[in-house]
Amino acid sequence: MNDERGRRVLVVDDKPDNAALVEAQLTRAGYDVACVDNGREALATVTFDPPDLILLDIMMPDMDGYQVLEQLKGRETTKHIPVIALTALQDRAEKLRALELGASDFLTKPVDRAELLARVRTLLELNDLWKAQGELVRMKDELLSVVSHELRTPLASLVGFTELLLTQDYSEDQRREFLIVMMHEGRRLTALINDFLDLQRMESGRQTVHLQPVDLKPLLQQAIATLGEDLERPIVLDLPAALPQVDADPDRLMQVVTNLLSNARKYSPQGGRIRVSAVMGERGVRVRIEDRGLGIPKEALPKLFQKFYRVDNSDRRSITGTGLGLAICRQIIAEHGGRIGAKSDGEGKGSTFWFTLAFSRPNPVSGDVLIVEDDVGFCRLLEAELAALGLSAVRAPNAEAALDRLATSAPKAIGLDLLLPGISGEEFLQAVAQRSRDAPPVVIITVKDLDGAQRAQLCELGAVALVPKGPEAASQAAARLAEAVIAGAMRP
Amino acid sequence: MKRVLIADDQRTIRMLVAATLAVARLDVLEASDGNEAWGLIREHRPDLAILDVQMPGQTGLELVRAIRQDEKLADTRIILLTATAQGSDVEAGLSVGADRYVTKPFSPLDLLEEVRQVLELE
Repeated sequence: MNDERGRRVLVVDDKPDNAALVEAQLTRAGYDVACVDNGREALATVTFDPPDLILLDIMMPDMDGYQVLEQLKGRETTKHIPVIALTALQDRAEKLRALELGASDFLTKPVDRAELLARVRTLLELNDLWKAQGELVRMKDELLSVVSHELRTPLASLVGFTELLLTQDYSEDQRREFLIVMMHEGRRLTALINDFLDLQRMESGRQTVHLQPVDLKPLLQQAIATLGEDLERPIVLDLPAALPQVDADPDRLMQVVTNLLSNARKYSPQGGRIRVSAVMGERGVRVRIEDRGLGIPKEALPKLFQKFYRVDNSDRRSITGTGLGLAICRQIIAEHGGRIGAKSDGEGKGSTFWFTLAFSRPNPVSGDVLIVEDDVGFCRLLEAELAALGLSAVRAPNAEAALDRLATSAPKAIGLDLLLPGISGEEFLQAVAQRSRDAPPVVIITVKDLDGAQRAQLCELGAVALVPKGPEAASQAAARLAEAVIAGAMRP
Repeated sequence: MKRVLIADDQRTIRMLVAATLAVARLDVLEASDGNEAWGLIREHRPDLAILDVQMPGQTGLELVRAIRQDEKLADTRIILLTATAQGSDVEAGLSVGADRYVTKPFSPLDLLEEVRQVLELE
């Protein structure tokens, strides 16, 4: 939320010098800035291309800032965009009028750079919170409508058959049949709730993917094995001989692949071979899952990945599901930075689902800084921050790999995540300290809340700085690492 | 024997309603979408149609309208099944001529009572 990059600010000022100054300051801070010099153009821009925030000069010829404010705040689509009034006036009444008309804040000209950036950032943060709030309300409404609609059908079977079994006499066969239906519907209800919560967690950002270099072939093989054998619907794997690693969260990717494969089988009631293949591109790979099943009518293709959308026709009516599988796949692939899609030549002609993943970037053998971290996403951020400071980096996804690196190269500093798979960060520190008296300085990056004793112990083992993992962690860690490298270079 | 048509795209709901009607020994026809239901209604002229509101093909509400506009089907009783507890669906259904409505999940014995009433059974 604190990231200025890409946040769009519209500056409305009739004096080109003023506008240019404000624009330059905001642009330097990373905002995406557009300028217009009159009220009418401002309203048009806001309507067609709404910014995240508006800086509005009050004293303008023709249509003044008050009129623009009135118009903005009077429209449903624009009234929530925060506005900062720019005023050269010392007159308290004029500032109050701007605030009364709906400006969130004001700045007095000439605009002070620090004040401008602070106010813009605060307002954007408030607006983000407001939007998040709206999103929560929307999700709650959606949950209610799902509960009232999607969950009622399986519930109806459970409640209904239970009542019949309790009040009527049935043969043993009939009882069994009813109980089997109840079991299936109970399972469907469970799957619905799980899928729905899964999707909500991802959409709300509470569950994110942890990217790491992954070999696709064993993962695809495992997914195929998970589904088990089906002689009428065999799955064949057709991969290029050498497939570079991709950046992926193995558990989440597994979820996508098994979902697509089980769909391919489910929608091939007459049987038919299912082919899993991969095509390499310049920067990544496209995985395809082709079946010879029912196919997808053209008009359904655009809606396929929407929640609860189900292609309906009599062929498929007996095929059950939660209606959420593909929505989950889309969400997971989007979080990988990839794309997902489907094609079909029409009903009865089979379907092909595909998704893309980026290749892992090659890891150099040595560098100024060794990053010991299993979260590839964070590694990349840190690498970029280090590069900006003129430092190269090499990654190790766990302590074992890091120790191997240290055996063959001598980084000037180490950035260490304490929570690692396998050997813990603390044990790694110990091993490094034991290995050589001249061990490189270590900057700890952690989500752990450490008490005084723990901090002291880490310092004894060679940690020179502690950076809490938060939104600013990568830039802070890079700064501490750069300091450590410089301090090391100055040592006799 | 009175004849009843059930139209619902969910197989389990059709099974449940059919099992419920079997308690009263009624003759049951099943349709899995609105269009199939309309065909069966015109062909077999059931005494009662139990219609899901949200179905592929013609919706339950469209079927109610179609039945009420057809003089030959003037005696057909209609019960709507709805999975939304929304009053608007129910009101719309009753205003175009449904006799009763039942919200999912429902008690089979209550549904049976509604069926007995509209068909004026013992």
